[in-house]
Amino acid sequence: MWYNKDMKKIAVFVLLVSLCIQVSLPFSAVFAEERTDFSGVSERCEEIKGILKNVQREDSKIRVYLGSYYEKILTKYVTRLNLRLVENNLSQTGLIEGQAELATARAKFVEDFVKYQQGLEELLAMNCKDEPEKFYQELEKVREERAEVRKGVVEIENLITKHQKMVGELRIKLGGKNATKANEAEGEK
Amino acid sequence: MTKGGKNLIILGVVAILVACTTTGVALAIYHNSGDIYLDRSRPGFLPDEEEIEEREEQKEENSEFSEKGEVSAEVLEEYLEKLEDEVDGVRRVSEPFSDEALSNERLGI
Repeated sequence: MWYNKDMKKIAVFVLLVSLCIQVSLPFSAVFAEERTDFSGVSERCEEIKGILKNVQREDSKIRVYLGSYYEKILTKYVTRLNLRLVENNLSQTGLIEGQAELATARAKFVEDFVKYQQGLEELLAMNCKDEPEKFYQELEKVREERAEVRKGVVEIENLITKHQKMVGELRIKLGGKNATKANEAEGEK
Repeated sequence: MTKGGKNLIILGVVAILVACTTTGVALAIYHNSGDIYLDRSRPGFLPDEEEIEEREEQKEENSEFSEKGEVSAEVLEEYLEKLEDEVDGVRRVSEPFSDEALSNERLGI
């Protein structure tokens, strides 16, 4: 009897252990694949920093390029149109709100860009040869900050498209009114 | 050395110290406020010759929208056409600040 009870216990124990091993092996393989090769970061430290410096320079050019267009669209088009509409008693709440949203989005874009560039500057100042893991963690943070800048750009483009749509609708409305006035004038004749 | 000479030296040293301090404070503010990242006059970030030429050409081409005048369907049509030219300029940059530039593949990690 003791032989059977002990054997049963041993069998259950072996089964549990083998189950645990079988379940954990695939997971460890997955984690092994996902783990970043920090030795690569350490070996190619200078090359990586060179690429990051190029990205920093290019991003700066793009920021100025886009910034100047956003500034022009906001001040020389959107704002002026709203002023002209007010002067002609045709002010549209949607267009005025759009102007405010565009101004806010533009300011946020600049703020996010500065934050991103500060992060990139700190990253470039780090020692990726001796501390590759820390460097990579900082790189992940900079990636998130860059994604925020990208979100800002998309937001501004959406606001400009919305503005164009609203102006298009106003144009149709005014075109319709003009046609009605012309018909009335012909009717009177 | 005369008293006047000593005073002159002290004045010189103090003036240099004050200048260094104020310059240091100004640079710290310039850096911390983030203006340095928006400034393209620093070495390595100056605009290319092509950029300068492009900007000067644009100034000649564009006639902007005035805030004074009547509003009609035709005026709005003209406004939308001019605005579309500016928007085309924005769209010339494809996928600005995309994820690709800092990806592992691009950095070779």
